[in-house]
Amino acid sequence: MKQNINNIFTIAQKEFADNVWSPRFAVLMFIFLGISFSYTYKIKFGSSFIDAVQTIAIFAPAIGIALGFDAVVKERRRNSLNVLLTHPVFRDNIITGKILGAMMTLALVVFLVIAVITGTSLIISGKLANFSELSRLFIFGILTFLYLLVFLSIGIFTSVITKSEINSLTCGIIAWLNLCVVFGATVMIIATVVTGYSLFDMDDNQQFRELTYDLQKLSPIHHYAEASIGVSDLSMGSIINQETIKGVLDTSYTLGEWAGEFWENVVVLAVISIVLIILSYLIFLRQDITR
Amino acid sequence: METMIETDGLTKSFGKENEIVAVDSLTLQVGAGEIFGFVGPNGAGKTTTMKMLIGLLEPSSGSGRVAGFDIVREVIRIREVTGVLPEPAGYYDNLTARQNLRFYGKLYDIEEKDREERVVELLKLVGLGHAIDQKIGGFSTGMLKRFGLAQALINEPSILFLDEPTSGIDPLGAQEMRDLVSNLSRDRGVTVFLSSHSMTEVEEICDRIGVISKGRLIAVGTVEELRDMVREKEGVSYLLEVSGLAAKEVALALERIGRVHSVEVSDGGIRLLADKGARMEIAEVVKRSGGAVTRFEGERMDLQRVFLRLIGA
Repeated sequence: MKQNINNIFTIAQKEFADNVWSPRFAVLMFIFLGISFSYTYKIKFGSSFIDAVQTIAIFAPAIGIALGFDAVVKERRRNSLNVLLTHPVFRDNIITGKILGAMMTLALVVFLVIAVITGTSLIISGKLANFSELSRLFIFGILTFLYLLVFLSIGIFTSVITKSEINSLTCGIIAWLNLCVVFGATVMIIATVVTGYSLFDMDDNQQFRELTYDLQKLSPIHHYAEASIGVSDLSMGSIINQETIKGVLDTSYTLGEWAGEFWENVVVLAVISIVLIILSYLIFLRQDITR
Repeated sequence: METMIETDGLTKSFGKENEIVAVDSLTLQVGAGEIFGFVGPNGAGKTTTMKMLIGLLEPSSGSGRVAGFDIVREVIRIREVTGVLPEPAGYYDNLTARQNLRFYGKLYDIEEKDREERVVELLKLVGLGHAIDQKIGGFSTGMLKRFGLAQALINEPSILFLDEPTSGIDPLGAQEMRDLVSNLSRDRGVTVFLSSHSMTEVEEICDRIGVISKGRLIAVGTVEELRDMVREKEGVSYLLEVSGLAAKEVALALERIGRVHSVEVSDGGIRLLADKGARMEIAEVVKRSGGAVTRFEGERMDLQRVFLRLIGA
């Protein structure tokens, strides 16, 4: 048991180091942190905090995909799994270590993003955040982590089921584009086709709006958007339904009230990741990875 | 001699109805400190056998023990006492040789100080002392094979499984690799299970050889024992030169011997195929016919030919 845990941490440590020192990660982080800074800085010029969260909601999943898409397939293709499995390591140690290492990297990503947003807000307002604001930012960080974990899990899942990195990356990018970028527009098209009404039927579009809202629940971006800033969607071209509580950062409500309203969103984000990780486990354990 | 590897009716089948039999009822024993060569044509079942012995594949039937541990129930115990150089083998290109080896070392319960010393010692042992801090991605095939041997030795194994350890490397590198393996067996008492296509390699360093074809172990023994098996089965080729008598007359006399299967007269002498042990009788017949034997050589079959005969090629 002790040796198993030791092996999991050894693999996780290597995975974390590989990710953090890879040029791919550095470039993505540089671009993403730059975008986070500029969107947060725009608040000074009248832009809202929603823009900064939307940046995270749309673009940060690409980092989740980037961290997971080659986790298993790369090792399999370059035959390093062949060698690793000749040492006293169980297969589940390998995939657990890889997932853990990627999650550690993801936690670092979220920490850096929150740090950039908080730091930029401090520069703009000149005020230090109090304990209540910091605790809400911490929860916002956890929400962001759970949201990005969904995409990391998608990346790991595609890396287990595909035979090359390029196929895995393609699947991951398709999932990201559909779930984060064009999701809102897709949902509106479907709702228009099904109900026969559109957003522009101002007098009679209740049915259209209800179906749109129901369909939005199919994407992780909806659950993240609701729990973090109280809107129903943050993808491009979507229609937005504003909740009474404007997410975890709305200080006019207590955290208890926030949790009572949005616990389902948090659970859904966690469950999607858990299901994908379990599926990846099961498939990996049944594969003949020594060929 | 203590048995380090033993199998009893080991079988592995693939396919929905187990219709593809990769290894069929394999029974063998390898003793401690022995270098055992495992040869066979492509697809004969060598790698499948090796995978079963190190617990990467579960047998369909039969049993096996490596270092006394069951190959199904005690896989991790087996991996703790064995070192494996698989084929193909890949390492982490972005890491140096030292970092790669350190990573594999961490998978064993080795004290950090000992691990660091062992990493350097092993890389020097395999001739990579100059490349300790070079990234593996820049290594040549020969260097990668050497590194593969170092990673297989990181846990100071009592048994080494080597799958094609010299494939793809130049003759000098291959010779150095063979010397390394021989030294490991001689100096450290490591048992070596070596799968190879190179008959030169197997003949040079292996104490015993197992020949596998179509999943079945068809012969086991020393090189000389394998030669004898072929000779028993097919007879021995001789080259005979006789003085005082025409070659054709000698050939006629020899054809009458029941243990002589074929006789052919050529410019170089008389070539004949006879049972092993018929040599004295042949010489006697030549003498009785009035001739004198001036040259009588049995063909020395190299392992390549022995192997081809054994597998029926």
